[in-house]
Amino acid sequence: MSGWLLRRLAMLPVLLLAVSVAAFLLAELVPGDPVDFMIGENATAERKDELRAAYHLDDPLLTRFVRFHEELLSGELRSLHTRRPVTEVLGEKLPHTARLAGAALLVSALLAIPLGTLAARRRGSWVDAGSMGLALVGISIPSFWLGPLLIIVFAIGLGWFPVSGADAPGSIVLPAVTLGLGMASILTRISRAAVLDVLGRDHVRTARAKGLSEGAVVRRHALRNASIPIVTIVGLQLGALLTGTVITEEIFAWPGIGREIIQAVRARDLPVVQGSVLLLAGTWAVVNTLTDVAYAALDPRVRLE
Amino acid sequence: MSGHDRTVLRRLWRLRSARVGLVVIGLVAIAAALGPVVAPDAVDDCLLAEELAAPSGAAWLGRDADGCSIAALLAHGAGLSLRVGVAVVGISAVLGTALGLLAGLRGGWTDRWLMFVLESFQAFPGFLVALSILAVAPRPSEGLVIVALCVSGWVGYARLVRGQVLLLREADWVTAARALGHGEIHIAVRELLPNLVSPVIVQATFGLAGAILAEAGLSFLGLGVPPDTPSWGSMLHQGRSYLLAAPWLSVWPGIAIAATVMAFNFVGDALRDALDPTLNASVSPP
Repeated sequence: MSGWLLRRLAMLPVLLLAVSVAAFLLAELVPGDPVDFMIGENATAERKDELRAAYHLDDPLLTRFVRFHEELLSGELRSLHTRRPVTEVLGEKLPHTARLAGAALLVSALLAIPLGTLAARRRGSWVDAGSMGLALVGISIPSFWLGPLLIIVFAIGLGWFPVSGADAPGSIVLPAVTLGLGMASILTRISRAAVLDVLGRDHVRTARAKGLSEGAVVRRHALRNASIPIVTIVGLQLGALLTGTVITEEIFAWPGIGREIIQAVRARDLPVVQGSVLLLAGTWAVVNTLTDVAYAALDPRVRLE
Repeated sequence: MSGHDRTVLRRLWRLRSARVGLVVIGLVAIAAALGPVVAPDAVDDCLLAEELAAPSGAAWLGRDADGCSIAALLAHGAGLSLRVGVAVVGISAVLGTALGLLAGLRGGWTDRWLMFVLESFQAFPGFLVALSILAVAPRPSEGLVIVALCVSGWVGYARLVRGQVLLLREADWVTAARALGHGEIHIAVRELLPNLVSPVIVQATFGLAGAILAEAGLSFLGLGVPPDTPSWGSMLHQGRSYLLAAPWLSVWPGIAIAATVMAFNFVGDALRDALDPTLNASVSPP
Protein backbone atom coordinates (compact mmCIF):
# COMPACT_ATOMS: atom_id res chain seq x y z
CA MET A 1 0.00 0.00 0.00
CA SER A 2 1.25 3.43 -0.90
CA GLY A 3 1.53 6.46 1.32
CA TRP A 4 -1.35 8.11 -0.47
CA LEU A 5 -3.72 5.26 0.29
CA LEU A 6 -2.62 5.08 3.92
CA ARG A 7 -3.09 8.82 4.32
CA ARG A 8 -6.56 8.58 2.80
CA LEU A 9 -7.53 5.75 5.14
CA ALA A 10 -6.02 7.51 8.16
CA MET A 11 -8.16 10.54 7.33
CA LEU A 12 -11.37 8.55 7.81
CA PRO A 13 -11.37 8.45 11.65
CA VAL A 14 -10.54 12.17 11.66
CA LEU A 15 -13.47 12.88 9.34
CA LEU A 16 -15.79 10.77 11.47
CA LEU A 17 -14.63 12.72 14.53
CA ALA A 18 -15.38 15.98 12.68
CA VAL A 19 -18.84 14.66 11.83
CA SER A 20 -19.58 13.76 15.44
CA VAL A 21 -18.28 17.11 16.70
CA ALA A 22 -20.57 18.88 14.24
CA ALA A 23 -23.58 16.79 15.24
CA PHE A 24 -22.88 17.57 18.89
CA LEU A 25 -22.38 21.29 18.26
CA LEU A 26 -25.72 21.46 16.48
CA ALA A 27 -27.41 21.48 19.88
CA GLU A 28 -25.02 24.18 21.12
CA LEU A 29 -25.94 26.42 18.19
CA VAL A 30 -29.58 26.61 19.23
CA PRO A 31 -30.04 30.10 20.61
CA GLY A 32 -31.52 30.61 24.07
CA ASP A 33 -31.26 28.74 27.33
CA PRO A 34 -32.40 25.11 27.05
CA VAL A 35 -33.79 25.36 30.58
CA ASP A 36 -36.12 28.18 29.53
CA PHE A 37 -37.24 25.94 26.71
CA MET A 38 -38.05 23.13 29.15
CA ILE A 39 -39.94 24.93 31.93
CA GLY A 40 -40.54 28.44 30.61
CA GLU A 41 -38.75 31.71 31.30
CA ASN A 42 -40.77 32.57 34.41
CA ALA A 43 -39.54 29.68 36.56
CA THR A 44 -37.58 30.56 39.70
CA ALA A 45 -33.82 30.76 39.56
CA GLU A 46 -33.47 27.84 42.01
CA ARG A 47 -35.65 25.59 39.90
CA LYS A 48 -33.60 26.50 36.81
CA ASP A 49 -30.34 25.72 38.62
CA GLU A 50 -31.80 22.42 39.76
CA LEU A 51 -32.67 21.41 36.21
CA ARG A 52 -29.34 22.61 34.91
CA ALA A 53 -27.60 20.37 37.46
CA ALA A 54 -29.90 17.45 36.71
CA TYR A 55 -29.14 17.63 32.98
CA HIS A 56 -25.43 18.46 33.55
CA LEU A 57 -25.79 21.58 31.42
CA ASP A 58 -23.08 23.43 33.31
CA ASP A 59 -20.42 20.80 32.67
CA PRO A 60 -17.47 21.70 30.46
CA LEU A 61 -18.01 21.32 26.70
CA LEU A 62 -15.67 18.34 26.41
CA THR A 63 -17.43 16.43 29.20
CA ARG A 64 -20.77 17.00 27.51
CA PHE A 65 -19.31 15.96 24.15
CA VAL A 66 -18.21 12.62 25.60
CA ARG A 67 -21.53 12.17 27.40
CA PHE A 68 -23.49 12.88 24.19
CA HIS A 69 -21.83 9.91 22.54
CA GLU A 70 -22.15 7.69 25.60
CA GLU A 71 -25.85 8.42 25.74
CA LEU A 72 -26.30 7.98 22.02
CA LEU A 73 -24.60 4.59 21.95
CA SER A 74 -26.22 3.29 25.15
CA GLY A 75 -29.66 4.24 23.87
CA GLU A 76 -30.17 6.89 26.55
CA LEU A 77 -30.40 9.68 24.01
CA ARG A 78 -34.10 9.79 23.31
CA SER A 79 -36.51 11.61 21.07
CA LEU A 80 -37.97 14.61 22.90
CA HIS A 81 -41.47 13.68 21.78
CA THR A 82 -41.81 9.91 21.61
CA ARG A 83 -39.15 9.23 24.28
CA ARG A 84 -37.87 6.36 22.14
CA PRO A 85 -34.08 5.87 21.96
CA VAL A 86 -32.62 7.63 18.92
CA THR A 87 -30.65 4.53 17.95
CA GLU A 88 -33.86 2.50 17.90
CA VAL A 89 -35.65 5.06 15.70
CA LEU A 90 -32.75 5.24 13.26
CA GLY A 91 -32.27 1.47 13.22
CA GLU A 92 -35.87 1.14 12.15
CA LYS A 93 -35.58 3.77 9.38
CA LEU A 94 -32.15 2.90 7.97
CA PRO A 95 -33.18 -0.26 6.03
CA HIS A 96 -35.84 1.73 4.17
CA THR A 97 -33.35 4.41 3.12
CA ALA A 98 -30.79 1.80 2.10
CA ARG A 99 -33.40 -0.04 0.02
CA LEU A 100 -34.47 3.19 -1.70
CA ALA A 101 -30.88 4.25 -2.42
CA GLY A 102 -30.08 0.79 -3.79
CA ALA A 103 -33.13 0.77 -6.05
CA ALA A 104 -32.34 4.28 -7.31
CA LEU A 105 -28.78 3.20 -8.07
CA LEU A 106 -30.09 0.23 -10.03
CA VAL A 107 -32.51 2.43 -11.99
CA SER A 108 -29.78 4.88 -12.93
CA ALA A 109 -27.23 2.20 -13.88
CA LEU A 110 -29.74 0.33 -16.04
CA LEU A 111 -30.69 3.55 -17.82
CA ALA A 112 -27.37 5.32 -18.05
CA ILE A 113 -24.78 2.72 -19.02
CA PRO A 114 -26.60 1.37 -22.13
CA LEU A 115 -27.65 4.90 -23.16
CA GLY A 116 -24.16 6.34 -22.68
CA THR A 117 -22.55 3.44 -24.54
CA LEU A 118 -25.00 3.79 -27.41
CA ALA A 119 -24.38 7.54 -27.60
CA ALA A 120 -20.62 6.92 -27.75
CA ARG A 121 -20.93 4.28 -30.48
CA ARG A 122 -23.12 6.54 -32.60
CA ARG A 123 -21.15 9.68 -31.87
CA GLY A 124 -22.56 12.73 -33.64
CA SER A 125 -25.80 11.03 -34.63
CA TRP A 126 -29.28 11.98 -33.45
CA VAL A 127 -29.07 9.17 -30.85
CA ASP A 128 -26.05 10.90 -29.36
CA ALA A 129 -27.59 14.37 -29.43
CA GLY A 130 -30.89 13.06 -28.09
CA SER A 131 -29.43 11.17 -25.15
CA MET A 132 -27.14 14.06 -24.22
CA GLY A 133 -30.12 16.42 -24.39
CA LEU A 134 -32.12 14.07 -22.19
CA ALA A 135 -29.25 13.95 -19.73
CA LEU A 136 -29.13 17.72 -19.48
CA VAL A 137 -32.89 17.89 -18.92
CA GLY A 138 -32.59 15.17 -16.28
CA ILE A 139 -29.95 17.11 -14.32
CA SER A 140 -32.07 20.25 -14.34
CA ILE A 141 -35.43 18.83 -13.28
CA PRO A 142 -35.74 19.09 -9.51
CA SER A 143 -36.81 15.86 -7.79
CA PHE A 144 -39.45 17.78 -5.86
CA TRP A 145 -41.14 18.55 -9.16
CA LEU A 146 -40.53 15.24 -10.91
CA GLY A 147 -41.93 13.31 -7.92
CA PRO A 148 -45.35 15.01 -7.90
CA LEU A 149 -45.55 14.76 -11.72
CA LEU A 150 -44.90 11.01 -11.55
CA ILE A 151 -47.57 10.73 -8.85
CA ILE A 152 -50.11 12.55 -11.04
CA VAL A 153 -49.43 10.38 -14.09
CA PHE A 154 -48.57 6.92 -12.76
CA ALA A 155 -50.25 6.80 -9.34
CA ILE A 156 -53.39 8.89 -9.69
CA GLY A 157 -53.91 8.83 -13.46
CA LEU A 158 -52.93 5.29 -14.46
CA GLY A 159 -53.14 3.77 -10.99
CA TRP A 160 -50.08 1.59 -11.60
CA PHE A 161 -48.30 2.39 -8.35
CA PRO A 162 -49.34 3.58 -4.88
CA VAL A 163 -49.21 7.34 -4.23
CA SER A 164 -47.05 7.05 -1.10
CA GLY A 165 -45.84 4.84 1.70
CA ALA A 166 -43.74 1.69 1.57
CA ASP A 167 -46.25 -1.07 2.29
CA ALA A 168 -47.53 -2.04 -1.16
CA PRO A 169 -45.23 -4.15 -3.37
CA GLY A 170 -44.81 -1.57 -6.16
CA SER A 171 -44.40 1.38 -3.86
CA ILE A 172 -40.64 1.64 -4.32
CA VAL A 173 -40.83 2.21 -8.09
CA LEU A 174 -41.81 5.90 -8.22
CA PRO A 175 -39.45 7.05 -5.43
CA ALA A 176 -36.59 5.05 -6.96
CA VAL A 177 -37.19 6.60 -10.40
CA THR A 178 -37.46 10.10 -8.89
CA LEU A 179 -34.22 9.68 -6.98
CA GLY A 180 -32.38 7.75 -9.71
CA LEU A 181 -33.09 9.96 -12.71
CA GLY A 182 -30.81 12.81 -11.66
CA MET A 183 -27.97 10.38 -11.11
CA ALA A 184 -28.76 8.61 -14.38
CA SER A 185 -28.24 11.92 -16.22
CA ILE A 186 -24.78 12.41 -14.78
CA LEU A 187 -23.90 8.76 -15.29
CA THR A 188 -25.00 8.82 -18.95
CA ARG A 189 -22.57 11.64 -19.69
CA ILE A 190 -19.76 9.91 -17.80
CA SER A 191 -20.40 6.57 -19.54
CA ARG A 192 -20.40 8.23 -22.96
CA ALA A 193 -17.14 10.04 -22.25
CA ALA A 194 -15.51 6.93 -20.80
CA VAL A 195 -16.53 4.66 -23.70
CA LEU A 196 -15.50 7.29 -26.28
CA ASP A 197 -12.11 7.55 -24.64
CA VAL A 198 -11.56 3.79 -24.74
CA LEU A 199 -12.92 3.33 -28.28
CA GLY A 200 -10.09 5.50 -29.59
CA ARG A 201 -7.34 3.38 -28.04
CA ASP A 202 -4.99 0.96 -29.78
CA HIS A 203 -6.24 -2.25 -28.18
CA VAL A 204 -9.73 -1.56 -29.50
CA ARG A 205 -8.34 -1.07 -32.99
CA THR A 206 -6.52 -4.37 -32.61
CA ALA A 207 -9.71 -6.07 -31.49
CA ARG A 208 -11.51 -4.69 -34.54
CA ALA A 209 -8.65 -5.64 -36.83
CA LYS A 210 -8.76 -9.27 -35.73
CA GLY A 211 -12.39 -9.35 -36.89
CA LEU A 212 -14.37 -9.17 -33.68
CA SER A 213 -17.93 -8.00 -34.07
CA GLU A 214 -18.60 -4.43 -32.94
CA GLY A 215 -20.79 -5.72 -30.08
CA ALA A 216 -18.00 -7.94 -28.78
CA VAL A 217 -15.52 -5.07 -29.08
CA VAL A 218 -17.72 -2.82 -27.01
CA ARG A 219 -18.64 -5.45 -24.43
CA ARG A 220 -15.28 -7.14 -23.94
CA HIS A 221 -12.79 -4.39 -24.65
CA ALA A 222 -14.39 -0.99 -24.30
CA LEU A 223 -16.88 -1.32 -21.43
CA ARG A 224 -14.44 -3.21 -19.22
CA ASN A 225 -11.91 -0.39 -19.42
CA ALA A 226 -14.55 2.30 -19.23
CA SER A 227 -15.82 0.81 -15.98
CA ILE A 228 -13.16 2.55 -13.87
CA PRO A 229 -14.47 6.11 -14.22
CA ILE A 230 -18.04 4.81 -14.17
CA VAL A 231 -17.53 2.98 -10.87
CA THR A 232 -15.89 6.05 -9.37
CA ILE A 233 -18.75 8.31 -10.30
CA VAL A 234 -21.24 5.76 -8.96
CA GLY A 235 -19.38 5.83 -5.65
CA LEU A 236 -19.22 9.61 -5.53
CA GLN A 237 -22.87 9.89 -6.47
CA LEU A 238 -23.87 7.44 -3.76
CA GLY A 239 -23.21 10.23 -1.29
CA ALA A 240 -25.37 12.64 -3.28
CA LEU A 241 -28.01 9.93 -3.44
CA LEU A 242 -28.10 9.82 0.36
CA THR A 243 -28.92 13.53 0.58
CA GLY A 244 -31.38 13.16 -2.27
CA THR A 245 -33.32 10.70 -0.13
CA VAL A 246 -34.30 13.56 2.19
CA ILE A 247 -36.47 15.23 -0.45
CA THR A 248 -37.63 12.05 -2.19
CA GLU A 249 -38.70 10.39 1.05
CA GLU A 250 -40.59 13.51 2.03
CA ILE A 251 -42.50 13.55 -1.29
CA PHE A 252 -43.51 9.90 -1.17
CA ALA A 253 -43.89 9.59 2.62
CA TRP A 254 -41.20 6.91 2.45
CA PRO A 255 -40.43 5.90 6.06
CA GLY A 256 -36.63 6.37 5.95
CA ILE A 257 -33.98 8.53 7.61
CA GLY A 258 -34.56 11.50 5.30
CA ARG A 259 -38.20 11.84 6.18
CA GLU A 260 -37.32 11.32 9.84
CA ILE A 261 -34.90 14.29 9.69
CA ILE A 262 -37.51 16.59 8.20
CA GLN A 263 -40.15 15.59 10.70
CA ALA A 264 -37.69 15.98 13.56
CA VAL A 265 -36.64 19.41 12.30
CA ARG A 266 -40.27 20.54 12.12
CA ALA A 267 -40.96 19.20 15.61
CA ARG A 268 -37.68 20.69 16.94
CA ASP A 269 -36.76 17.18 18.08
CA LEU A 270 -33.04 17.91 18.33
CA PRO A 271 -31.70 14.51 19.49
CA VAL A 272 -33.27 12.82 16.46
CA VAL A 273 -31.87 15.52 14.12
CA GLN A 274 -28.41 15.05 15.65
CA GLY A 275 -28.58 11.28 15.34
CA SER A 276 -29.75 11.38 11.73
CA VAL A 277 -27.13 13.94 10.71
CA LEU A 278 -24.45 11.83 12.37
CA LEU A 279 -25.63 8.73 10.55
CA LEU A 280 -26.00 10.32 7.08
CA ALA A 281 -22.77 12.34 7.21
CA GLY A 282 -20.89 9.39 8.67
CA THR A 283 -22.09 7.10 5.89
CA TRP A 284 -21.16 9.75 3.33
CA ALA A 285 -17.59 9.97 4.73
CA VAL A 286 -17.18 6.19 4.70
CA VAL A 287 -18.57 5.83 1.16
CA ASN A 288 -16.33 8.60 -0.19
CA THR A 289 -13.25 7.04 1.37
CA LEU A 290 -14.10 3.58 0.06
CA THR A 291 -14.63 5.05 -3.42
CA ASP A 292 -11.21 6.65 -3.38
CA VAL A 293 -9.63 3.41 -2.19
CA ALA A 294 -11.48 1.36 -4.81
CA TYR A 295 -10.43 3.83 -7.50
CA ALA A 296 -6.79 3.50 -6.50
CA ALA A 297 -7.10 -0.29 -6.42
CA LEU A 298 -8.63 -0.37 -9.91
CA ASP A 299 -6.32 2.15 -11.51
CA PRO A 300 -2.66 1.95 -10.42
CA ARG A 301 -1.90 5.33 -12.03
CA VAL A 302 -3.83 7.13 -9.28
CA ARG A 303 -1.41 5.86 -6.65
CA LEU A 304 1.59 7.32 -8.44
CA GLU A 305 0.30 10.89 -8.31
CA MET B 1 -14.06 44.60 -23.08
CA SER B 2 -10.86 43.08 -24.40
CA GLY B 3 -10.48 41.30 -27.70
CA HIS B 4 -10.31 37.97 -25.92
CA ASP B 5 -13.62 38.63 -24.15
CA ARG B 6 -15.25 39.45 -27.46
CA THR B 7 -13.94 36.24 -29.03
CA VAL B 8 -15.33 34.26 -26.11
CA LEU B 9 -18.73 35.96 -26.40
CA ARG B 10 -18.82 35.33 -30.15
CA ARG B 11 -17.99 31.65 -29.65
CA LEU B 12 -20.65 31.46 -26.97
CA TRP B 13 -23.36 33.01 -29.12
CA ARG B 14 -22.56 30.63 -31.97
CA LEU B 15 -23.81 27.67 -29.88
CA ARG B 16 -27.56 27.23 -30.02
CA SER B 17 -27.77 25.84 -26.47
CA ALA B 18 -25.91 28.88 -25.15
CA ARG B 19 -28.26 31.26 -26.99
CA VAL B 20 -31.30 29.46 -25.55
CA GLY B 21 -29.75 29.54 -22.07
CA LEU B 22 -28.88 33.24 -22.24
CA VAL B 23 -32.37 34.12 -23.47
CA VAL B 24 -34.02 32.16 -20.63
CA ILE B 25 -31.74 33.78 -18.04
CA GLY B 26 -32.55 37.17 -19.57
CA LEU B 27 -36.29 36.50 -19.30
CA VAL B 28 -35.95 35.41 -15.67
CA ALA B 29 -33.96 38.56 -14.90
CA ILE B 30 -36.58 40.75 -16.60
CA ALA B 31 -39.35 39.03 -14.62
CA ALA B 32 -37.39 39.55 -11.42
CA ALA B 33 -36.86 43.25 -12.20
CA LEU B 34 -40.42 43.95 -13.32
CA GLY B 35 -42.22 41.81 -10.71
CA PRO B 36 -41.95 44.26 -7.81
CA VAL B 37 -42.88 47.17 -10.14
CA VAL B 38 -45.93 45.63 -11.83
CA ALA B 39 -47.20 43.68 -8.82
CA PRO B 40 -45.72 45.28 -5.70
CA ASP B 41 -48.18 43.51 -3.40
CA ALA B 42 -48.04 39.99 -4.80
CA VAL B 43 -48.50 38.51 -1.35
CA ASP B 44 -50.74 41.07 0.38
CA ASP B 45 -53.02 41.94 -2.48
CA CYS B 46 -54.73 38.57 -2.99
CA LEU B 47 -58.34 37.68 -3.63
CA LEU B 48 -59.16 34.98 -1.14
CA ALA B 49 -62.55 34.50 -2.80
CA GLU B 50 -60.77 33.40 -5.95
CA GLU B 51 -58.57 30.77 -4.32
CA LEU B 52 -57.32 28.09 -6.73
CA ALA B 53 -58.86 29.94 -9.70
CA ALA B 54 -57.82 28.34 -13.00
CA PRO B 55 -55.72 30.31 -15.49
CA SER B 56 -57.86 33.03 -17.06
CA GLY B 57 -57.71 36.52 -18.53
CA ALA B 58 -57.52 38.18 -15.12
CA ALA B 59 -54.88 35.86 -13.66
CA TRP B 60 -53.31 34.24 -16.66
CA LEU B 61 -51.38 31.57 -14.77
CA GLY B 62 -54.15 31.02 -12.22
CA ARG B 63 -54.31 31.70 -8.49
CA ASP B 64 -52.93 29.76 -5.53
CA ALA B 65 -54.68 28.56 -2.35
CA ASP B 66 -54.60 32.08 -0.88
CA GLY B 67 -56.00 33.64 -4.03
CA CYS B 68 -52.65 35.19 -5.00
CA SER B 69 -51.77 35.57 -8.69
CA ILE B 70 -49.30 32.85 -9.63
CA ALA B 71 -47.72 35.02 -12.31
CA ALA B 72 -46.94 37.72 -9.72
CA LEU B 73 -45.60 35.16 -7.24
CA LEU B 74 -43.40 33.64 -9.96
CA ALA B 75 -41.92 37.04 -10.78
CA HIS B 76 -41.15 37.72 -7.12
CA GLY B 77 -39.77 34.20 -6.76
CA ALA B 78 -37.48 34.84 -9.75
CA GLY B 79 -35.96 37.75 -7.84
CA LEU B 80 -35.38 35.59 -4.79
CA SER B 81 -33.81 32.77 -6.80
CA LEU B 82 -31.41 35.12 -8.58
CA ARG B 83 -30.53 37.04 -5.40
CA VAL B 84 -29.78 33.85 -3.47
CA GLY B 85 -27.93 32.30 -6.41
CA VAL B 86 -25.74 35.35 -7.07
CA ALA B 87 -25.02 35.95 -3.38
CA VAL B 88 -24.14 32.32 -2.64
CA VAL B 89 -21.94 31.99 -5.72
CA GLY B 90 -20.34 35.42 -5.23
CA ILE B 91 -19.41 34.84 -1.60
CA SER B 92 -18.35 31.21 -2.15
CA ALA B 93 -16.25 32.00 -5.23
CA VAL B 94 -14.40 34.93 -3.62
CA LEU B 95 -13.75 33.06 -0.38
CA GLY B 96 -12.82 29.83 -2.14
CA THR B 97 -10.51 31.58 -4.62
CA ALA B 98 -8.73 33.49 -1.86
CA LEU B 99 -8.19 30.36 0.24
CA GLY B 100 -7.19 28.28 -2.79
CA LEU B 101 -4.63 30.93 -3.81
CA LEU B 102 -3.26 31.05 -0.28
CA ALA B 103 -2.93 27.25 -0.04
CA GLY B 104 -1.44 26.84 -3.50
CA LEU B 105 1.06 29.69 -3.25
CA ARG B 106 2.17 29.25 0.34
CA GLY B 107 2.42 25.46 0.27
CA GLY B 108 3.87 23.73 3.34
CA TRP B 109 1.87 23.86 6.54
CA THR B 110 -0.57 26.47 5.29
CA ASP B 111 -1.49 24.18 2.43
CA ARG B 112 -1.68 21.07 4.57
CA TRP B 113 -3.84 22.79 7.17
CA LEU B 114 -6.19 24.30 4.60
CA MET B 115 -6.49 20.98 2.80
CA PHE B 116 -7.38 19.37 6.11
CA VAL B 117 -10.13 21.93 6.72
CA LEU B 118 -11.31 21.45 3.15
CA GLU B 119 -11.50 17.68 3.44
CA SER B 120 -13.33 17.97 6.75
CA PHE B 121 -15.91 20.21 5.10
CA GLN B 122 -16.23 17.71 2.28
CA ALA B 123 -17.16 15.08 4.83
CA PHE B 124 -20.56 16.76 4.98
CA PRO B 125 -23.09 16.72 2.17
CA GLY B 126 -23.78 20.40 1.38
CA PHE B 127 -27.56 20.13 1.40
CA LEU B 128 -27.49 18.38 4.77
CA VAL B 129 -25.28 21.12 6.21
CA ALA B 130 -27.65 23.84 5.05
CA LEU B 131 -30.62 21.88 6.32
CA SER B 132 -29.05 21.39 9.76
CA ILE B 133 -28.14 25.06 10.10
CA LEU B 134 -31.65 26.14 9.18
CA ALA B 135 -33.06 23.51 11.53
CA VAL B 136 -31.55 25.11 14.62
CA ALA B 137 -31.99 28.71 13.48
CA PRO B 138 -34.42 30.81 15.53
CA ARG B 139 -36.35 32.08 12.51
CA PRO B 140 -35.87 31.65 8.77
CA SER B 141 -34.63 34.48 6.58
CA GLU B 142 -33.17 35.02 3.12
CA GLY B 143 -29.79 35.93 4.59
CA LEU B 144 -29.68 32.77 6.64
CA VAL B 145 -30.39 30.61 3.58
CA ILE B 146 -27.48 32.33 1.80
CA VAL B 147 -25.12 31.77 4.73
CA ALA B 148 -26.24 28.15 5.11
CA LEU B 149 -25.50 27.44 1.45
CA CYS B 150 -22.14 29.26 1.55
CA VAL B 151 -20.88 27.12 4.45
CA SER B 152 -20.15 24.25 2.08
CA GLY B 153 -20.26 26.27 -1.16
CA TRP B 154 -16.70 27.65 -1.03
CA VAL B 155 -15.05 24.23 -0.88
CA GLY B 156 -15.32 23.44 -4.60
CA TYR B 157 -13.78 26.78 -5.61
CA ALA B 158 -10.91 26.43 -3.14
CA ARG B 159 -10.08 22.95 -4.44
CA LEU B 160 -10.27 24.09 -8.09
CA VAL B 161 -8.14 27.19 -7.56
CA ARG B 162 -5.52 25.38 -5.48
CA GLY B 163 -5.11 22.78 -8.20
CA GLN B 164 -4.71 25.46 -10.86
CA VAL B 165 -2.22 27.42 -8.76
CA LEU B 166 -0.09 24.30 -8.22
CA LEU B 167 0.17 24.00 -12.02
CA LEU B 168 0.65 27.68 -12.76
CA ARG B 169 3.12 28.66 -10.07
CA GLU B 170 5.93 26.80 -11.84
CA ALA B 171 5.25 28.57 -15.15
CA ASP B 172 8.04 30.61 -16.67
CA TRP B 173 6.28 33.94 -16.49
CA VAL B 174 5.68 33.45 -12.75
CA THR B 175 9.35 32.61 -12.24
CA ALA B 176 10.17 35.73 -14.24
CA ALA B 177 7.94 37.84 -11.99
CA ARG B 178 9.70 36.38 -8.95
CA ALA B 179 13.09 37.11 -10.47
CA LEU B 180 12.02 40.72 -10.99
CA GLY B 181 11.53 40.90 -7.24
CA HIS B 182 7.74 40.99 -7.10
CA GLY B 183 6.16 39.87 -3.84
CA GLU B 184 3.64 37.12 -3.21
CA ILE B 185 0.64 39.46 -3.35
CA HIS B 186 1.70 40.86 -6.73
CA ILE B 187 2.17 37.33 -8.07
CA ALA B 188 -1.18 36.17 -6.72
CA VAL B 189 -3.17 39.16 -7.99
CA ARG B 190 -1.37 40.17 -11.16
CA GLU B 191 0.15 36.93 -12.46
CA LEU B 192 -2.12 34.11 -11.24
CA LEU B 193 -5.58 35.60 -10.76
CA PRO B 194 -6.15 36.53 -14.43
CA ASN B 195 -5.51 32.89 -15.35
CA LEU B 196 -7.93 31.64 -12.73
CA VAL B 197 -10.88 33.71 -13.91
CA SER B 198 -11.96 31.33 -16.67
CA PRO B 199 -12.23 28.10 -14.66
CA VAL B 200 -13.83 29.95 -11.74
CA ILE B 201 -16.45 31.54 -14.03
CA VAL B 202 -17.34 28.16 -15.51
CA GLN B 203 -17.69 26.64 -12.05
CA ALA B 204 -19.70 29.65 -10.87
CA THR B 205 -22.19 29.20 -13.71
CA PHE B 206 -22.87 25.62 -12.64
CA GLY B 207 -22.84 26.89 -9.06
CA LEU B 208 -25.70 29.28 -9.85
CA ALA B 209 -27.79 26.36 -11.06
CA GLY B 210 -26.92 24.40 -7.91
CA ALA B 211 -27.67 27.27 -5.52
CA ILE B 212 -31.05 28.01 -7.15
CA LEU B 213 -31.94 24.32 -6.96
CA ALA B 214 -30.83 24.11 -3.32
CA GLU B 215 -32.82 27.19 -2.27
CA ALA B 216 -35.92 25.81 -3.97
CA GLY B 217 -35.36 22.44 -2.29
CA LEU B 218 -35.02 23.99 1.16
CA SER B 219 -38.10 26.14 0.63
CA PHE B 220 -39.98 23.09 -0.69
CA LEU B 221 -39.22 21.37 2.62
CA GLY B 222 -40.47 24.45 4.46
CA LEU B 223 -37.00 25.28 5.81
CA GLY B 224 -35.97 28.06 3.46
CA VAL B 225 -37.19 31.64 3.38
CA PRO B 226 -40.04 32.86 5.66
CA PRO B 227 -43.53 31.71 4.62
CA ASP B 228 -44.60 35.17 3.40
CA THR B 229 -41.66 35.45 0.96
CA PRO B 230 -42.65 34.17 -2.50
CA SER B 231 -40.30 31.39 -3.53
CA TRP B 232 -40.55 28.82 -6.32
CA GLY B 233 -39.81 26.07 -3.83
CA SER B 234 -42.52 27.06 -1.36
CA MET B 235 -45.00 27.43 -4.24
CA LEU B 236 -44.31 23.79 -5.14
CA HIS B 237 -44.72 22.92 -1.48
CA GLN B 238 -48.22 24.40 -1.48
CA GLY B 239 -48.99 22.85 -4.87
CA ARG B 240 -48.44 19.35 -3.53
CA SER B 241 -51.70 19.53 -1.59
CA TYR B 242 -53.64 20.38 -4.76
CA LEU B 243 -52.00 18.13 -7.34
CA LEU B 244 -55.32 17.09 -8.88
CA ALA B 245 -57.63 19.97 -7.98
CA ALA B 246 -55.27 22.71 -9.20
CA PRO B 247 -52.25 21.30 -11.05
CA TRP B 248 -51.24 24.80 -12.24
CA LEU B 249 -49.97 25.44 -8.71
CA SER B 250 -47.24 22.86 -9.33
CA VAL B 251 -46.75 23.15 -13.08
CA TRP B 252 -45.58 26.77 -13.38
CA PRO B 253 -43.04 26.98 -10.56
CA GLY B 254 -41.68 23.58 -11.64
CA ILE B 255 -41.17 24.82 -15.18
CA ALA B 256 -39.57 28.00 -13.85
CA ILE B 257 -37.03 26.08 -11.74
CA ALA B 258 -36.23 23.48 -14.39
CA ALA B 259 -35.87 26.07 -17.18
CA THR B 260 -33.65 28.37 -15.11
CA VAL B 261 -31.42 25.57 -13.88
CA MET B 262 -31.18 24.14 -17.38
CA ALA B 263 -30.32 27.58 -18.78
CA PHE B 264 -27.40 27.98 -16.38
CA ASN B 265 -26.23 24.42 -17.16
CA PHE B 266 -26.42 25.17 -20.91
CA VAL B 267 -24.41 28.36 -20.53
CA GLY B 268 -21.91 26.66 -18.22
CA ASP B 269 -21.31 23.90 -20.76
CA ALA B 270 -20.96 26.39 -23.58
CA LEU B 271 -18.70 28.70 -21.57
CA ARG B 272 -16.36 25.82 -20.87
CA ASP B 273 -16.11 25.17 -24.60
CA ALA B 274 -15.75 28.84 -25.46
CA LEU B 275 -13.11 29.58 -22.84
CA ASP B 276 -11.07 26.49 -23.55
CA PRO B 277 -11.58 25.00 -27.00
CA THR B 278 -9.17 22.17 -26.23
CA LEU B 279 -11.53 20.77 -23.61
CA ASN B 280 -14.22 18.34 -24.58
CA ALA B 281 -17.54 19.21 -23.02
CA SER B 282 -18.59 15.79 -21.93
CA VAL B 283 -18.31 15.67 -18.17
CA SER B 284 -20.36 17.71 -15.77
CA PRO B 285 -19.34 18.40 -12.20
CA PRO B 286 -21.11 15.98 -9.85
